[in-house]
Order: sequence, then structure tokens, then C-alpha cells
Amino acid sequence: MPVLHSQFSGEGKTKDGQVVKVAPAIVLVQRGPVFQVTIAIADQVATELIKQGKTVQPAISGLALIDTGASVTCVDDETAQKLQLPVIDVVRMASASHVSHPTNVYPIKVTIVGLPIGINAPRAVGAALKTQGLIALLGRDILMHCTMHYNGVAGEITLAI
Amino acid sequence: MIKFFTAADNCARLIGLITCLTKRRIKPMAEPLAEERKFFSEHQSEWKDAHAGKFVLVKGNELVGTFNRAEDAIAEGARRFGKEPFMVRSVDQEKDIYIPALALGILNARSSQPV
Repeated sequence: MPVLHSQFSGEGKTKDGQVVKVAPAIVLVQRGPVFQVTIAIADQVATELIKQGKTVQPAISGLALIDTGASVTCVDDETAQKLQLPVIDVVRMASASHVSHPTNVYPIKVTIVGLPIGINAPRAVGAALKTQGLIALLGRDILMHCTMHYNGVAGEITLAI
Repeated sequence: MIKFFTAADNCARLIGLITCLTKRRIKPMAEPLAEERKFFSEHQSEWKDAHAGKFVLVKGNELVGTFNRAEDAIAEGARRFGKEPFMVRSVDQEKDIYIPALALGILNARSSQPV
């Protein structure tokens, strides 16, 4: 079983401008459990498109936040458009600025950099995540394939698929 | 030469601008899969009985097929329609999607940083 172990690190500035290291536990609190990932079109769609001689956009890399509160994975809408993902449904989703609004659903494949296996999320929901510096929120539909150990004391995350 | 505009001039300009914008009729963005979603809602109760627990593949006003897994329905949709939109949905789907971090706008909330 492939295992990815990462300890978070970061730097901060004191009042007099001196750069100092920040404790991994604090970095994990501030940033959350983020991982470098690549997002691509889901395998089952890519296979069919290639058979038809159609172009498949290369995967896009960026940061994804693990969100155990989300039942489904969310993908940044702009990233979805760049990947030319087919829209396979429209659902209503509540957001901070709207009570409930329609949003597209896309079939995606998420690969966590450092792990050799990609996970298909056939119904990832589009959301405006780029402003948060993210390209995806990894929900429980992805986590159902993983074992995760969150070590807040040491500022470490261990993920196994 | 300095030209002064009266309130009446400004009012006329404003009316002209509004008329111009109205005539342009900015076309709203069409929501994808509108036809498919309408077709689904019209048939959902019937499909729930006939295809309980399955995923449907819908294109336009046609039920293309029913599948045990969303992945299989998506593969068939991609095979038939390529990159065109097609709808894959569980016949049992009822409620809205709720992602607390997005719904509450707390993705980057920090109580330690007062405004």
C-alpha cells in the first residue's frame, strides 16, 4: 500500500522583520491539510475520447485541501473549463453568497503527487476555489479510498491508498 | 471651450444609455442540461420504481440507459456523445449538495486575525 507522509513547514516574520521558522503544528493549523495534486479528466471519459481521436487536455497541478466535512469532491470551475471537462449534471449547492445556486458536475481524476495511484471522482462539483489558492477540495468520496492519519501535535499528515 | 451640462442634459443622457442597454438585450448564459433536467424531473418517480438504485444516462428527451455505477453511465455517455454535455444522475437523487466550508464561507476563516 503506497504511503505518503508529509510534515508541514513554513516561515514567518517577527515585528522587526526577522525571518523565523514556524512550528509544523502551527503551519498545519493555518494552512490545513493541503496536498499537491493533479486534476485530469476521469479515466473512463479520457479512454473514450482517445478512441474517438479527440484531444484530451493534459492534467493541471495545484493545491487541494482535504475536507472531511464535504461528502463530495469539489473542483475549481476555471480548472474544469481549462481541462474541457464534460458537464454530466447540474446540481444545486448552497454557498456563502447565495442560498442555493446551480453548479456543474464533472467527472475528474485526482492524483496526489507522491502517490502512484489516481482516484476517479465521477461526480465532482464545480466551485470557485481559485481565489483560495486551491484547485480542489477532496471530499469523502475520495477519502473512502484512503487511510489518513492527522497528527496535529507534530504537524504531519500520513495518507495511504 | 468649457461646456456645462444641465441636470436635464444629464437626465437625457442617462435615459439614452438605459435605452441603448435595453435594446442590446444581453443574452443570459444558458444553463447546461436544462432539457435533460426537466426530462429527469418529469420521470423521476416512474424511474425510481422501475430502476431503483440505478444511474440514468439522459441526452435531450431520451433515456439512453440505466447503469449500476455512475462510472459506467459516464463511459457510455462519453462513447456516444464525446465532449458534448450529457446527464448522469442517480434516480434516487433528492437533496441539494451541501459543503459546509463553502456554504458557510469558512474555508479561510481565522478567528485569530480580527478585522
